[in-house]
Amino acid sequence: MKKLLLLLLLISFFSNAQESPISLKKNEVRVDVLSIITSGKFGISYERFLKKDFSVGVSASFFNSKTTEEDFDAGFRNNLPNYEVNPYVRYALSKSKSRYYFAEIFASANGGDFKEVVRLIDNNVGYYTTQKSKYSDFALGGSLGYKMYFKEKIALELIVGFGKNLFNTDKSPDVVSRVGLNLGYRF
Amino acid sequence: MKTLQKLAGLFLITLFISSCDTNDDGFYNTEYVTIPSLVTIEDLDIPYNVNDFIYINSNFDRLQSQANQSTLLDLRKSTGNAPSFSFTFQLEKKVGNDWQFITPTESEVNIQKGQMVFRGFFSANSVFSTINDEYQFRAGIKLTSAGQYRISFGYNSSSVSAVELRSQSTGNNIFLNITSSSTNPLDSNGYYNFTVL
Repeated sequence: MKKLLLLLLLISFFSNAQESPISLKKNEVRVDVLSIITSGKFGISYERFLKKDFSVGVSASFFNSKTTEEDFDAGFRNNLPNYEVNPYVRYALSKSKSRYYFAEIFASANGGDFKEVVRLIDNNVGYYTTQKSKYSDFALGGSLGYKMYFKEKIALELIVGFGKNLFNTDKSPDVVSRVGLNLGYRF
Repeated sequence: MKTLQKLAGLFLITLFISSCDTNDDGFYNTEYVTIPSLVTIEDLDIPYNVNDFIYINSNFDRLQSQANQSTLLDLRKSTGNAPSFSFTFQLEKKVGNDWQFITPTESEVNIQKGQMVFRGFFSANSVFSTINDEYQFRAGIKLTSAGQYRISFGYNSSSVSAVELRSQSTGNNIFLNITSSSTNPLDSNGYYNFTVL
């Protein structure tokens, strides 16, 4: 019986010892590898871990997809997102510090190009043409995700979330997605 | 194992959603306008006799009056110099109690201006003439037998009582969709009815 208790104590000690290095590391940076491949979006994130399973952070994404630009010029879409800056607050839903689900709420300052067909007049004759302008908007949304660590410092994170633009949806996309497969480093 | 399954599911959802993350439905290089009387069925030969041709006309200037606008609309400039405007129509003959589509031979079609091909329906192109500065189409179809006939412009069209013309714009230029009411008397179903004696 004493041996069993000792064994349980040892297991408990080592399991805590395994997690404690992660808990001591309070900062993390990540790159979204999925979006680079699928949508030409370069996204980087910083996360700061707080007490009681909470963390805060900010993500910044910049778009540079030739396919999306071609679709925009050809008229298959009327907006072309250029950037997103997303501050967020996260809460870990699992007890483990090395593999856990999380939920977050985020805000998004986003902007890009907008195109519309307008009627102009030249020499007293009307004609239609496309006109480009800039848009910017602010969205609120939520996400769910799963994160795991390798060697207590390499992070792999899947996240799926949506936000709704609030102020300028005549020009901006109705929905801002927050979808990614992030690879990160915790320190 | 359960975690792996959840992870795989989440990954698939992520992959799916990341490919459709904006409101990219629809086509935005299109403008819809209404301009009356751009297509006309010539009815000068009424009553038609066997072996007469019935002619369809679509000759219109590049500058057109537009509803609710104080200035003329330049169709050519709006479409980035579109070479033509296309529209469709069907010719049917009553056989017994049924209407059957007319399938003319090459010699039974007389294209004088523009272009026309038969694909089960007639697909016509009013082609721009730089000499006359207008879009031009005139073609006739030989009426080879006596009977009741009808023409409709409703094929591939959302409108029954009007003809829809679409610019054959190229590149990233605007496609102009024109809804043009007919000058010919159409019945409530959008048919122009006539008889061949």
